[in-house]
Amino acid sequence: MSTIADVTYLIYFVGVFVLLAASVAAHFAPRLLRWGRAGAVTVAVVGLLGLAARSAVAGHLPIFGTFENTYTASWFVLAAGAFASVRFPAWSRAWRLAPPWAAALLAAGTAFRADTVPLTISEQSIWVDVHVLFAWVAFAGLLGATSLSLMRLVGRPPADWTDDEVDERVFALLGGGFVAFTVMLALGSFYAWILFGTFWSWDIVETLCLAAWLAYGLVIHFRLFYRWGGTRLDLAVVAVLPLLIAGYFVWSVFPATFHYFDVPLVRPY
Amino acid sequence: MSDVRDGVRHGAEWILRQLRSRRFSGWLIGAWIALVLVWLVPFQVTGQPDETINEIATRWWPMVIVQVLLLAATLLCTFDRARRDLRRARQWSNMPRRLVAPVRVDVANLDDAASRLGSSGLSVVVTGNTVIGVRRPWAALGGSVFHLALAVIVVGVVLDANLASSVAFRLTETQAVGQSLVPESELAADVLGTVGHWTLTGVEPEYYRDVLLFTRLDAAFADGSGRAREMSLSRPIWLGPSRTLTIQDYGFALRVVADTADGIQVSDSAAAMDIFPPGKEDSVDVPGTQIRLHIVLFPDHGVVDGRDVSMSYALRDPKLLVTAERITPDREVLARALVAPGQPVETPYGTVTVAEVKRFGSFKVNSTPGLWFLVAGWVLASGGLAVRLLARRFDVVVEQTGEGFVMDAWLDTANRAEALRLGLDALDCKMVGEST
Repeated sequence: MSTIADVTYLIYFVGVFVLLAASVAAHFAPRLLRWGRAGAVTVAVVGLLGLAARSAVAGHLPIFGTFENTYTASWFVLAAGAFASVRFPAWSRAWRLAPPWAAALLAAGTAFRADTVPLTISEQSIWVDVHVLFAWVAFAGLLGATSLSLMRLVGRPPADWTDDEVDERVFALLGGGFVAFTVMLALGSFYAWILFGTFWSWDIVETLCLAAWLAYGLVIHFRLFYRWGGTRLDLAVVAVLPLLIAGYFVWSVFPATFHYFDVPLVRPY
Repeated sequence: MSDVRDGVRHGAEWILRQLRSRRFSGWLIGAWIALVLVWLVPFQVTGQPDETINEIATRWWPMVIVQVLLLAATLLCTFDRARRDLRRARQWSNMPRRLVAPVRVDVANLDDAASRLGSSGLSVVVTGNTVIGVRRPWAALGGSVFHLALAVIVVGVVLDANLASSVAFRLTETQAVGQSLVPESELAADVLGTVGHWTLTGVEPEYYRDVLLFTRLDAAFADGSGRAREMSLSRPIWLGPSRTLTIQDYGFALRVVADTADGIQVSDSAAAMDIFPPGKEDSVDVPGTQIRLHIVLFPDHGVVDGRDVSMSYALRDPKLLVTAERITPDREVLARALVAPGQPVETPYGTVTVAEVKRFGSFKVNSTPGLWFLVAGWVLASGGLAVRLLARRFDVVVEQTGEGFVMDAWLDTANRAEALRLGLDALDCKMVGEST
């Protein structure tokens, strides 16, 4: 099973970078769009198999450490793009939003320990599993919104959508991501109480995630009540991205947090 | 005088108007984020103690002002908004609607339009020469529920800050909670009444291979009736609707026996030591003597390259490096030896024996009266938000005019083209042309 996990990871890794190349090339060769969509679905299926194999080897969902989290995050982003491409005709080119993020996440993950280790005791809870599930759903939605905004800002929306349609879709992704983000915070808060008897600690991960959540809330208000759209909406969405990335991955480089999962495997001598 | 009164009234109204405005809330959120990034995160990054961070986040005056204003603004704004949304939800059938850019549609008559909209799942009402159809008229109320839920969360946080309490204690195996816990507070006495007779029957840690990665930390109690109560770090024992017994950590406790040179026992005492992980040194004063012991525990002793080490973190073959010193300013070392539990260390004044090495658990009883406010708040907030952002209100109006039947539609934030397309879908008919 370990070999299957390794091989599927490698295929997935290569597949994501091939998709990245295809998504760029599709701008010059539109016939690649359909192939790219099929490719995205294929790579997403391979990634799912890889994550399942890794889960079987590790004995837990792939949520422990930067390597596993970047692997899982990249899959969520890619799978969301592939699913939208297949499920909704208007989104048939949505797969193109995912490869840059998926590739960046996978590349970042290679800098960290890749061996499978069991889940530490504090992570062994269904609350953590659901918390992480919502975290990645939120991440995929919010990154999707950011991608759309970025593509419009550089003058290359992924499909022949009007500005109004892009606004609508950015808002739909923002809304879905924000709801998932809220559920993620709620579950994390409850589990923190179970573990420590306190709902909130001014831990850097929690602080940055709360800041990101409020910032996205602000953008949603701008859209709902001031009808922000076009460049203004795009700039607002993109401006929150650093907070989102910091909130989700600061623990990879900053160990003094409850959310530190690259536990050093210290021997007693 | 009345001018002054008017001025004050106008001023108060202006302040209230600003407070309840969404624009002001926006500025406050922006200010809070800026404060956090400029004056909180840098302290977290530079590793300031938790107390300092908490102090800044909850007591530093700019933060307090922004948070209090934000709460007030949110509540005022939500109150206004909720009344409006409630009215719109309840009176959807008789609210005046101004058609913005209607299109002509090919329905036979108003009854036909009503029937088509009804078939599409809309609630329909026919008034005069108009048919109004609406789907999810209450959707906007989700936003109010979400914002009010934030207030419920704040109530929970305030209750938590003022009434939550925890009692921490350490127990060695076979020790009863009541033997460890001194009822110094009301809660402690309360805890004694609940679990005072519970006895710790075991603390069981487990590691991944021989590295410092906990894969298990379980504890088991026998309650007053002898029934086993099991727990782990991530699965506490619930003692009540908002009270849990949790295990936080574990360590090693030593039983130390001191004898005179003539073999007369001077003392027999137990102490929880901070000697984990292996190699960490802690000290304990031996009661009835002038001796202090410095102890390093090797729970699974071995020798590597001539050095005493622990081969794993498990308590398999414990050895203790004991340094006995006199409690005097010169701290004269009296003896130093590597011993197994039960093996005496000779000193000029007699022997000191670490008779037993046992595990202890660090436990905490958490009592949080605000728990269910917080849970209810989070559930309502998540639900309200999902309704507000994912289930959008949809209105369709069909009107009979001199040129036939015209239709207009609204879908929350959707653009007009999208709303009109959905309106035509709901009517299951085609657009005949633009309305003049």
